[in-house]
Amino acid sequence: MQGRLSRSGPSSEWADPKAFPGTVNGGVTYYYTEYSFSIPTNGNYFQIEIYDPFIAIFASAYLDTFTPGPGPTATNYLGDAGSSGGFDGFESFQVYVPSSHTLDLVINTVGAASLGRTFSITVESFSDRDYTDPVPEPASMALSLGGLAVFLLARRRRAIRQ
Amino acid sequence: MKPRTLLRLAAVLSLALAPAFAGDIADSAKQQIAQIMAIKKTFSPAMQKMDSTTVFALLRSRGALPAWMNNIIDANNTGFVDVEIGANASPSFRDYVASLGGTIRNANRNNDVLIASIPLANLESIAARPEVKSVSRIGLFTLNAGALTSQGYISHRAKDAIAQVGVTGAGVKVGVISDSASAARVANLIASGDLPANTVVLAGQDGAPGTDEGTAMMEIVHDMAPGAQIYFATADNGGQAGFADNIRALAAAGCKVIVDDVTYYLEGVFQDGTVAKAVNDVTAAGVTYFSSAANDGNLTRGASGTWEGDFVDGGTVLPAPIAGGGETGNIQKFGADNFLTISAVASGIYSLKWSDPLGASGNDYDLFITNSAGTSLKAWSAASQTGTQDPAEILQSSSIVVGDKIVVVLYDGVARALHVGSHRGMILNGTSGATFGHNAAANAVSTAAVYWNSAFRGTVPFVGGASNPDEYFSSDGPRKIFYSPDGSPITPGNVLFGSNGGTTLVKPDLAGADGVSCRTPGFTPFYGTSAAAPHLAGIAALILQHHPTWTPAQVKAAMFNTAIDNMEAGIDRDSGHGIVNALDAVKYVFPPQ
Repeated sequence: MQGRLSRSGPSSEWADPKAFPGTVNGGVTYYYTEYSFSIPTNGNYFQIEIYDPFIAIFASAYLDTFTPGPGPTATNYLGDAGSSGGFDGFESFQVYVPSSHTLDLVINTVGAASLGRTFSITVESFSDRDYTDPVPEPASMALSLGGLAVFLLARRRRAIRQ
Repeated sequence: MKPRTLLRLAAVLSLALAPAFAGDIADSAKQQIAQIMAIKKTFSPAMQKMDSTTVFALLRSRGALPAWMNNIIDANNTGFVDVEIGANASPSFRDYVASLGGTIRNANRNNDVLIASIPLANLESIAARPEVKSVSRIGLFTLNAGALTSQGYISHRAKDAIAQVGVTGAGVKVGVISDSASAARVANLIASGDLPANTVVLAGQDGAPGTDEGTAMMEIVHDMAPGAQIYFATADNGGQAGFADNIRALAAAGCKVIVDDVTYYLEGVFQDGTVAKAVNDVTAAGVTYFSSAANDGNLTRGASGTWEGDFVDGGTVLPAPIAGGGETGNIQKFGADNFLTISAVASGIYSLKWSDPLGASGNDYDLFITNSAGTSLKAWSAASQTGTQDPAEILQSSSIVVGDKIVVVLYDGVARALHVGSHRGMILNGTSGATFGHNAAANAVSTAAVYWNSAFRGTVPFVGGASNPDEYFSSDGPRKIFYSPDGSPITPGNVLFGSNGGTTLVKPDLAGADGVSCRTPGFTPFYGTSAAAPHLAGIAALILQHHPTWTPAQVKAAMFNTAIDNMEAGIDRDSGHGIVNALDAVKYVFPPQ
């Protein structure tokens, strides 16, 4: 994509959702990858944490789909990490995803080169802001396992799009 | 002049500037140090009560310094300066200050520390008054980080304690001390449910304007102990003395748990100072006191910004005093080198402390920073210690960069144990022993920081071990103490590390979560030992609701004996007993006697 989200500082939190922060460097090509997560029953509160000791990636979340045009737009924007890694390379943020929708997590590089190495993502969903675990119904168990598999796969670089 | 001659002169000059050996600073830097020592030799008795920055700013304003010093000293230190005056402030003294154009802005409860704005030109006259003990710049300090809930609520198992035991901290008052908690922010957080409706900020003690770090800490206490009442008072109202006053004020207001996240850079390292004595007083009266260990790094994670050890004579600064007076001085030898090398810069603040009693230092050490080549000075602190001053030097400079050298000189006196602090920076060949002052006081629970998801397992309870290491910046221990709070030596005649003088405290004591969510702007998320300490204070409130007659020693024992071990097996210099487990601590039962 051309350009990337502005790293505006504060991370999105359930109690304080962020407005779309705008984009920067429209003439620069950045690489990104997406991960899609379904919602367990009563599991609308998502917490996403990324770990990259080189502080070279940025995470943002969208409702159902991310459609760059040619860079990130406010369409379906839910929130972002605010910066590319706090102390020791960790950065986390929180978004609320309404039921009957999916979480589309976008990880992009913050430099012009592709990443070429692994990073780590932790995605959790809760039923409230006190981190109460959702109770998945049997029909959604397979979906949650699929989500777990996606989390595990996140430790390896996925197909990178521009 | 012919080119060959030019080359020969250049070679001679470069040799003259070169250090005597690879681990030494250059003669040019030594000349500069000697010039400072010569000027120091001429300090008036009034100047000997003043800190180095103030004295040299005064001398600069009088045109009494060579050009190279003027180029280093902050040219903005003119006109009015904000100072702390240690004085028995009688009405006549206050009138005298006013007659010299000064304005007294504040005083501590004992009226023996004044905060004032004084014309620089009149500072020496004020310092000369017999009732004045000290004049120094306003004490530098640092801060160690609805509803929205801290992840520590899960990591420490506070949620489980609340759900399984039924405790909320109800009936317990928790006092929080930080830089500020503005009225507007407190009101917002009460409205959003992130603070309890009965939150109290002591009158006139909100510390505003500031960062509102106090409200972020209060949010964490409320997350961990939603039934506790929370009080706040600032640490930034009258320097260390004002801080100590507010510790006592919170205890007087009924707080059975108090937590702070402040470090005053000039707090004593080897003896309890003003703030630590206040901690001692309130803990003796039944308060369980928590303090952030600070964020000056730890050796275990390769992030030391501290050096502790004994003075080793690395040779005289110059073979003889320079013309006009001065001392030869003796340079500290750090292993093979006559300097420490700076490997990371953060605050630009560097301090030197040594093992003399507070207010009675008779050995005079000075602190210098040179450029990376060791050829010229960038900053220094060279106050006098003639028997009535604190054993401390502190400097602050924005020109210090990686590679610059820290040099310590014994201006006059004998060998002492030394503590060099780079305050969130890093130095090569550093040691352990970063935490100091009341943060490491015997009667305070010194708190290290562990990232809530350091185990990469999400928002789940801590597991300890290698999966939950301390943050790299969390200050380590242990803490060597050579003097009792009253200044009497613990091991008379032995105040050195090498001869095992004094006593060694296990500090930090415990570890708490950081990197957690808060609503206070600027603390989203909240990192540091400043975030870790209020988690433990909240847990203490849960314990005290369940065991209302427990003493501070019993509360601490329950936390120690149920902690989840991390870092090195057993009690260690990084996190003491380990990470607090709220559920087990609340349920703890003392073995039968």
